[in-house]
Amino acid sequence: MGKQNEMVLPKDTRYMKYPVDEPFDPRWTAWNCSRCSYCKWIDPWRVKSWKYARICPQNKRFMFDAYSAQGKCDLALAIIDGKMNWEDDPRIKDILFQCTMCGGCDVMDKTIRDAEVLKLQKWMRAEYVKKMGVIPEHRPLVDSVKNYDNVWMQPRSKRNAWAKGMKIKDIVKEKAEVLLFVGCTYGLSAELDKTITNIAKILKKCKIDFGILGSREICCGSPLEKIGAESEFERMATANVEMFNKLGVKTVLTPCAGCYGTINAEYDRFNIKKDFEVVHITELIEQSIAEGTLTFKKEVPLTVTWHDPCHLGRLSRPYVPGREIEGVYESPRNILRAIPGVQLYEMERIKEYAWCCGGGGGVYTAFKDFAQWTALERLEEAKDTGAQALATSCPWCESNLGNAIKGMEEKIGLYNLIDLMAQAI
Amino acid sequence: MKDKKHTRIFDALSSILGRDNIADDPSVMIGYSRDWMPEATMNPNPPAFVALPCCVEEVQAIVKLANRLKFPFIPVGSNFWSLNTVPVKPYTVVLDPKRMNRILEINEKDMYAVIEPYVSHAQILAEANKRGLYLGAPEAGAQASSLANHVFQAAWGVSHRLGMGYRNILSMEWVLPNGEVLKTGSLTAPRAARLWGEGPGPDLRGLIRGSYGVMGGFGVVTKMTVKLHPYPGPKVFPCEGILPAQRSKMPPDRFAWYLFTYPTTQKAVDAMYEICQAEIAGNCSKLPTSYLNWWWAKSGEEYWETWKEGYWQKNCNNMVAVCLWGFTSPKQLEYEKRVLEDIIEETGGKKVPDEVYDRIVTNIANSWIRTAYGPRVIARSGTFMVFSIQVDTMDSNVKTLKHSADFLDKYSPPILDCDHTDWIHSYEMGHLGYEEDMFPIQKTEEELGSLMESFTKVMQKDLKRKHEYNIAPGLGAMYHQLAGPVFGYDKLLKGIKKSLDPNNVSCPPQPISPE
Repeated sequence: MGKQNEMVLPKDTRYMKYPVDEPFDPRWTAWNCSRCSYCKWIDPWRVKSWKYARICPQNKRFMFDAYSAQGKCDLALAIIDGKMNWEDDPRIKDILFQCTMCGGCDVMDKTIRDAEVLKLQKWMRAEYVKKMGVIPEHRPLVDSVKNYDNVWMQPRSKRNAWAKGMKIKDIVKEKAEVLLFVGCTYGLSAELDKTITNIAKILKKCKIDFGILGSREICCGSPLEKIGAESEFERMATANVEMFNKLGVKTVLTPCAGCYGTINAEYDRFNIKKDFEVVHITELIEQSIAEGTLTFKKEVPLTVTWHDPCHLGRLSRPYVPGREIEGVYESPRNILRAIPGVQLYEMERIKEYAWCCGGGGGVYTAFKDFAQWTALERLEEAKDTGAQALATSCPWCESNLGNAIKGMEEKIGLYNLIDLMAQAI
Repeated sequence: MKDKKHTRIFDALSSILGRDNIADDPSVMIGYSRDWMPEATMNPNPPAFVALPCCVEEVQAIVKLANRLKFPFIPVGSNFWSLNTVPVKPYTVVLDPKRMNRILEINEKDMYAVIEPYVSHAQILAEANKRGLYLGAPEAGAQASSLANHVFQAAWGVSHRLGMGYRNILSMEWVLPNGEVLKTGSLTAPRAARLWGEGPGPDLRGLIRGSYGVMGGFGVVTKMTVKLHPYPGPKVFPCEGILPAQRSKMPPDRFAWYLFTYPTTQKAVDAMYEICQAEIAGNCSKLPTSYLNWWWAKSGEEYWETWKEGYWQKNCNNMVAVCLWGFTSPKQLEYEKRVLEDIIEETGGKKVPDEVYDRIVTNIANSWIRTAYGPRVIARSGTFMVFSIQVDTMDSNVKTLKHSADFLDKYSPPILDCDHTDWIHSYEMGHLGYEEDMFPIQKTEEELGSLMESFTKVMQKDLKRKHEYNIAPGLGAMYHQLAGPVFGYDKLLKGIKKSLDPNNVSCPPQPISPE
């Protein structure tokens, strides 16, 4: 077709090949939103009931379209085109920050078009913060990282308290094949002490040569990246990559989904080459089970459903247009299937279209009501499977879901996968 | 500008809905400033307020207030294809139905569902499938509001067997533009099963449904009973893989796709008539090559590389796609297979190669059972336009599409390469033919503007020819304004508008300006 009998193709070559390696163009992303509302629902092929058909916690909770990726595309376009300014409307803060940045909208949008609407929302937060400053609710978090290199306002020296007496290598002093990057929450939360201790025990049992950074470990920067504190995030990311490279670490092993997703998918944008691979604890354990270095001896009679943490799943890989939204979906499921006595029941929304726990994107810190509301929907979905317990492998999910369970009349069990496994070893 | 009238309306809406359910913040309004169509994309316009009513009483109170204080309101569904329901007047309130999102009843025995406006097609399909029931999936995708789709037109894949969606409306609860609540069909009898759509008295469904419906111009439908049909498929839609590359295989003892080509569009349509006369199949369409590529490709690169390679053009020119449904039994499917094989042989149809068949069936065709990846049409160049939509006979569709082909050739560029996008669909066993020709254009203001200009010129010529080619739909909001005088229904429509909406508050200027 065409006047010269030649193919008439788009002049804007971005329609013909989405430029993942070029600088992000927020206007193009916003301009090309068709308002189809895919960003608000799980893919229609996957809808199994009226009750669990939605993907976006923010839109379901606050309802107005502004509280969705589509609405934020419209807002971004108005800001970029100079029709609105960040300071024009105080509600912009709520629209931008009362969002768990779970990426559900992003997956659904990628089903339809080549675009990165989550990246657009991160860009919006970063621009907002540049102009208006970090929102007051997030200020303590940023200050904590600045002062203590962790998000929990804990002294650096407490980072390796859990490892006392466990004879774990200090990787700065002794070479090890694997760096166990503990993460702020596993390293500093008393409630999760048991889990990180179990992880170390399991690694020893699997004869993995690993070490830790102890008090020299710093935050991966994930919360900073999500709340728009871009320069602070860059500082942490750069420092981490430089440190890991300098130590000659070949494998960074993370028990935290947030650290995993961030180091895997977000560090590359600063053009510092990573000389190491990032592995999540569930991937390593799955491999150990397959190789026979880890076996389960005790039965754990329990029906369990698996909650896919966003950062372990859909947010854990760099974007490749047209390719499946990959993530660590099968490893935890295979582990659960391998535990004697455990029966796996699936929720309706799983893997790349899982419903968020509610704890991400700075919401856990700043908007607790919304975090709990989102968690309660996930717990309800878990209960509807008939499972006795829900298992996950992300400290943020565990904390947020755990808080929500406390307020439930009919409770459901909650396990970190590692702790559940430990019962069987 | 928040003047006295604005404040008065806001306060009144707050007292009806509660403060949390009404907004006038600019950052919220901007999210309701456009639809997908070129005109609104180029000239977005935010409303003054967005309201979240939760029930018919709240909708009624808002509508009565609108009449009293003289401000317009716009009812929306999922707000995808709003057809220029972008505000054109000050103080406009958009009624967003997200709090009216319940399936109130599914009656398995009598096969119907009662739904509110924010129930998506996918939700009702999921619940209906569990009970062995079904209602169809629209081209816009099953994320769209089912109720809004029913009054709009509801061109479903299975309309060949089940009829156009708007014929499946059994009853409505409907707030008229003056604030009165009208109940139609079986909803008028409180204790009756919601089985029938007609009466008592005149069948008032015709006021609101139909091709393009009345675009919000006749009030707000707050509840609808829709007919459900027997479904021989599994309780959960079969689907595997990770997005965006998921695949679906339907049970072979109940569903069978046939894909076969002809040398011309007319020969393809002749074969479709044979299929219709034999009264077989659930879906029966002549699918254009570009549509196949839209639905199949998972990225822009995949789309354009496949198009340049000519994969679909080589393999699927003038292709008829038929899905046989064993509604009653596997035996029915076997019988229909034999009939269809005979028809294909007698009409000289040529089956597509196996590889093409597999690519279409698992990735594309089953979309017409649960959802179409309709929005992908928009993505590969930023947007698309429609030159003509015609509901007539399939033979008439063929003629109209010839005119369409001339337009596509003449205005390419800015129309991008897309073959001749002639889609012909059998509705109601071929008693109706539906044609549509979507084509891609690059989403820049220049290209959209230039095409709109050309479009208007062609449109004016077409009107002089007594609207021979049905191209008005492409202009969306002006549909009834332009088509009304040609077909002679404009005076009737204006009369109804004046009578139902004396203050012209229901989504002006839809469906037609009373002046």
